[in-house]
Amino acid sequence: MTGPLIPMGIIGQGWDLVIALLIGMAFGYVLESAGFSSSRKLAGVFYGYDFTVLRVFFTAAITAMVGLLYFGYMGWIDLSMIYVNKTFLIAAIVGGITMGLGFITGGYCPGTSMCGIAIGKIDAMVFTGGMLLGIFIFSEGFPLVKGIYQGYDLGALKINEVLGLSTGVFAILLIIVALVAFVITRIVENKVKKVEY
Amino acid sequence: MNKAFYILAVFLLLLGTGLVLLPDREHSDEASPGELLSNLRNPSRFISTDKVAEMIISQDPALLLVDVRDMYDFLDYSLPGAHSIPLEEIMMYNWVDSLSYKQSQIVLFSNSDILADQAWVLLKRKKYENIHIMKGGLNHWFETIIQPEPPAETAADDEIDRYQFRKGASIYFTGGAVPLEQETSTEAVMVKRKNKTQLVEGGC
Amino acid sequence: MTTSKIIDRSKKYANPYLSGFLLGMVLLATFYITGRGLGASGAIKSTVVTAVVTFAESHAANSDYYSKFISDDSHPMNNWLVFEIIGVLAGAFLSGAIAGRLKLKVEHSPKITSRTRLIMAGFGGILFGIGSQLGRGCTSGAALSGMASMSLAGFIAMLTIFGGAYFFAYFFRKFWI
Repeated sequence: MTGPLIPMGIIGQGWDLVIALLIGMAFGYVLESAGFSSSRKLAGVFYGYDFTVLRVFFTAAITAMVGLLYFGYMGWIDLSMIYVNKTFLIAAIVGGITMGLGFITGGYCPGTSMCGIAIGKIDAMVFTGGMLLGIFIFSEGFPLVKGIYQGYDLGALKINEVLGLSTGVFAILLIIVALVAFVITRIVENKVKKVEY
Repeated sequence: MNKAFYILAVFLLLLGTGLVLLPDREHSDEASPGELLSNLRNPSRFISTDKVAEMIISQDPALLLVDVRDMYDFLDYSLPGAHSIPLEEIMMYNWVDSLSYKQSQIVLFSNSDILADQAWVLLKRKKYENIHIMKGGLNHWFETIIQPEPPAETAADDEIDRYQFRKGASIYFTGGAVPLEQETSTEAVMVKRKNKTQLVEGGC
Repeated sequence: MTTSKIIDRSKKYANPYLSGFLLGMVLLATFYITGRGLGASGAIKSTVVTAVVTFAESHAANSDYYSKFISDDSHPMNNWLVFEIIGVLAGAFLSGAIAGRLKLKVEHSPKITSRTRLIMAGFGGILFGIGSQLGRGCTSGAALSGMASMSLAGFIAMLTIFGGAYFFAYFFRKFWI
């Protein structure tokens, strides 16, 4: 069966939401068991006392990337049907930095705050409340940022194309970068004073 | 470093190296026999002459009529607005893009079903979508649209309706532009696009 | 294998590389089944859209932004991501229950009060809400899924979210360490 299954019509639309629920459960379980329900553990990556976020995040992205490339190579999935988010350059950069500031002050990101809520973290609930408010503010103020939001549209670019590399070469480079980062962060972690949380 | 790290490192490095070293594989962009068979069995590959007439009359912008008979036959008689692409040329690619097939419902026709069906199989093998065959071809077109046979007195209502439509269509196609009494149902043909726009924007 | 000198509290948590690998597999399965990656902020956006539609329908329809997400045939809550997030809550609850981490509390550094932590959390949430809309996705939808699909946008999101947080980390160190 050549994937992706739902866009190809192999799995009917009715199963869509059941699958969403199951995938969400696996997602939530893995995040929580890795410790992503704790804001102080998440913040550790920015102060050098706990690099769990970097390890999990990087490993997951690379595993999925390599997996997708192999699936495509074997013809199990039609890579041209995989959603590649479009790059709106300025909006992406400004939005990303705003999220960075939100991350360091709030201690969560949307997915992890859900894990926090699930195990009873009140700060996660407040964070999510803030997100609702933030999205509301953005929507109401949308006319003000519409220009940035819709401008500088570079299309659905892939990073290896931008760098002029083949997908395989880019993947191995990213793997090496990640492994080096894992080693360095382990050293940093051992030097930084431990924070009890 | 813990054991999991070493396992992961070896695993990823091997897989990554594999990606670089693996020879480029020619990805067949042809439909597999299984896919072809399931397409062949799908009755929606045929489209009725009534439906074609209706789409022509309502000037459906998605309709793309392709006459797969040879040029002489085409010049002799064809459907209004049809493009002539003889079967021998059907695999020449240039026409496909120039006719921007993606937004279209392609309807292939010949005198009977045979040539159109052959063209259909060839195109389907190349994974083109939205390709249909006009059921019965031009022969059937004459029997049903140009010279429709009146139904028996005792025929069901919908049969009589259909006859009314065909009579109107016949006038439309043979010259007299008499407006249709009956409203043609403008049931839109679903345009199935084979691109990613169907996916939701903004995954997060 | 070096052992950490300090009692490693993260022992209670799963090994990060194993978790990362499993998360990657979940992401891969998501791509294989749905053709797109995971997400989170989209579900929260759906909630906001639904609320606004419920309380001020004409306002929502006239707004440039809400109207993007309202279609006649489908309810905004009837969204793939909303169900995914319900699943996340269930899955995380399950994991927390198994590990004995279910507890209603405010987690904060001993140097700050619960109140300060909650104000900061709310403030951060607002910023993350705004940023995720402008950047078209959050850490999971834009950065993680985007990186897996090798999109430029995914890498920009990853670099700017983490880069931004590192940049501002110095100013907020009191709140964490």
